[in-house]
Amino acid sequence: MSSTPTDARQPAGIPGAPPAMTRSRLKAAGPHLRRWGVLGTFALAFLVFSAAEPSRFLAWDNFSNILSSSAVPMIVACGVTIPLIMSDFDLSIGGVVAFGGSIAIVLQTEQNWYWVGAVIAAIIVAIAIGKLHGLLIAKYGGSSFVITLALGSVYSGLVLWLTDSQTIYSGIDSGFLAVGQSDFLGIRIPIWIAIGFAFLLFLITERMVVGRRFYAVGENITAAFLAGMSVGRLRTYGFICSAIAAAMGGMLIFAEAGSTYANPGQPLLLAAFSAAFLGAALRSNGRFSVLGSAVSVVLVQMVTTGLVILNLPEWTASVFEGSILAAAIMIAPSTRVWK
Amino acid sequence: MSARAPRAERGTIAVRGLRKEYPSVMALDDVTLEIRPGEVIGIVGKNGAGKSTLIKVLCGAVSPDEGTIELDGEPVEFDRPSQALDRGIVAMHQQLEVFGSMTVAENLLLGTPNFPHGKLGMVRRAQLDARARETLAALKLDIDPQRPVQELSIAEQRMTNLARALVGEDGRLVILDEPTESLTAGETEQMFERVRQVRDAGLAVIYVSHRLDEVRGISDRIVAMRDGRVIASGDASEFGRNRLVELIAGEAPETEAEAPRERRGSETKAVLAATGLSGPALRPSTFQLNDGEIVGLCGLVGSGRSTLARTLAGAVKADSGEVLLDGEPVEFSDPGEAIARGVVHVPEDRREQALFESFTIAEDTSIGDLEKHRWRSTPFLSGRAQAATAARAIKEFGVSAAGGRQLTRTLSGGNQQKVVLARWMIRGGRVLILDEPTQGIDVGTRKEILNLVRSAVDQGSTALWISSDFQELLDVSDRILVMKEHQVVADMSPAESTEEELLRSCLPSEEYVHAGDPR
Repeated sequence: MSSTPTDARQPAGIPGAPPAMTRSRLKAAGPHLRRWGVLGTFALAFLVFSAAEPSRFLAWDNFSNILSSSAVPMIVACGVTIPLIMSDFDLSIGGVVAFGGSIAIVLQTEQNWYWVGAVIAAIIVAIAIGKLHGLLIAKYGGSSFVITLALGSVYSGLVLWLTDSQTIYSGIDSGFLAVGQSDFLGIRIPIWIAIGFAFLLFLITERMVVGRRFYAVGENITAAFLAGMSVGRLRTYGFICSAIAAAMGGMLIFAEAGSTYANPGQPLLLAAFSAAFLGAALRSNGRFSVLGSAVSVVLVQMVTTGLVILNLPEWTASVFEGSILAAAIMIAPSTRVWK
Repeated sequence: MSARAPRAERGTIAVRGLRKEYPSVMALDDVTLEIRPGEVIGIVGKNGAGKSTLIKVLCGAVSPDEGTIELDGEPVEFDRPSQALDRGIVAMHQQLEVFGSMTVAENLLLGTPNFPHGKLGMVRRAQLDARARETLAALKLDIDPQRPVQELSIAEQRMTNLARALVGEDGRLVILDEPTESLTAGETEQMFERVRQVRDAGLAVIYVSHRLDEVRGISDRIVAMRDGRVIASGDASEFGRNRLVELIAGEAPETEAEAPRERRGSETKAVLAATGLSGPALRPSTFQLNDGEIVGLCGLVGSGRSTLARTLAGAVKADSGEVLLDGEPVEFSDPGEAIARGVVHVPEDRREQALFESFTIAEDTSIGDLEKHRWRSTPFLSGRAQAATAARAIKEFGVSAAGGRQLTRTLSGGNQQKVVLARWMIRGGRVLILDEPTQGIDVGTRKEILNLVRSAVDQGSTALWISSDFQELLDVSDRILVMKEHQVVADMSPAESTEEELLRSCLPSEEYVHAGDPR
């Protein structure tokens, strides 16, 4: 597909257009091509796995396994989607995952806090982190890319200070561990939390007034300001959302593992951002969306598990995930992502 | 080095049977046109008539579905703008595309095959500046080639852009899209002079504008377009103003004199009164906007017109002075507060400051008043309310669109402007601040917009109408404020003023240039 930048901005997807195969029509079909191309690739992967290992891939256990391993990435991916909608990057989530999780654990093991209190404290710290990001980025004009990358490293460092670089596994409240390890109505609690959180963010971004403002800020920040929006406050909300999501994710992985461990956030950072970008590619309008991010997490997780079932080497999962993301972005570049 | 060999050897540029279809419109429908060297062709037509698409095809930004472009009788195909540029076709788009922080010389030569560089691609700066100086001198432009372009006035930037056509010996066609938008009469005349020089150098010029008198003044030949077709073309002298309006609108223009409007409001009841209002780039100004009044604001570009608008709308903070809104002192710290008090602002720069390009018409028209588009009084949006607003915008403001779900980026420039106007006019307000509200809007719709503003002020508000088109100000305003050197300096009555008087009162010092308008 050769498409000049101007052509990428031509009319697309207007209902009622008569079908005719001209060059312009093919280009206008770009977003749909991308969307169905991405979905088709996943559908194909699903069919291949089902055909090759029907007894193992199509089992309930596998399905529930896919969902369980999607829970934390889904929470974090939906969280970073909010700043992304406003064209802000939050690269601190890797650090905040570890920091939030460690605060909740350390308060229980060293300060003997009740686990609910520890969880609330971690969330409050996350809100403070989001506010700090909003202050530095939205108010004082720092670049979100650099500020969050830098502060992410600060939080990672604070984790080492908090935990004395040790793995903590004793003294964690059983109630806290139960949230990560037990079922409710036959489904793991983290899955319920992930679905609930994603649904909440979906309502906020797609159905509520504030969500429409998020999209307006991302689309044209000057126009949003002149149209009367408190741009700084909205962007701060975005960073608060992503920080809370990261802290929740951190607490859930430590609860599932039953201990703290080193660098829990690193793989989540990439997973969250690729899900968000894949999600944008899945939408016909190329926008970031909570729904797109949530669905993408599950699709990627399905492929990762499928590749394990087929006994393919570990590296294939990364290669697949990276390739489809790059392909989705390339088929019809949604330039506004980088504005 | 200003004496250049006339490019007499250049042949004709022709387009034959051009067709370009977009999902909702036929943008070009069998367009055939010949452009001879040393000729200015004026193209007129209303929004969506196909002028912009024709330009895009000629400069290689859009490929036609059918038809050919011929240079000297030999068919060529452009896949991208650089190919058109290589063949000597230079376009100056409505939204000026310059590299603001780069120098005049770099802007002049960048993208041309003549950019002086050494073997390893290193820029030869001395040669670059020399060539730029030579080109600028050919157009009698007194601009330092080493200055960053962003420091130039808009007129100078446009003329620099025009000069690109004279870099090297290969230039054959210059396309100008609304080159005099936001220019004053004096600057317009200077621009005309340059355009004629370019023509006399043997280049062909395409001149696209909604300003019919300018088109008639500068063109040798005029081409009128409607619905993607060329509906008339001929010698410029064959087209009177009325004939052109008729051709563009597709109907006979209303010739009867406009009935004098009955104003509902009273002269003395001020809705907004500013006393000694000053701020960054605004010197103490005192004026008032009365109930039921459209107040024109006239001034040169850079006189502080838009700064005044932004200060009133809360986007720029005032340093001192007082603003009374319905007799109550107000001080807005951001546009949100101003809007909450009913002071709404349609900014000058649609693309940078107003439009949300990936939004649908429904999303864009409701964004100024989301509170009113909620489902009951929950924080949730109502799809029905948004659709209703979009339908109203399409109907009342004559937006040509398939429906409220069409993306605003797929609309033509004039229709985008209507969407932005609809957003704020439907919301309504006590004070409407309209900065160049009719930019890119065709003659017929211009009148509808004026009527909508009139009915808005009749229902209890006041409007500040900013425009570079002084005739428009004389037509629409009940009163005209004049801004000069960042200050409101006069309050004039349109009934007793002429365009020339307005211009004279705006001009800073003795640099008055006769407008030389063919009107």
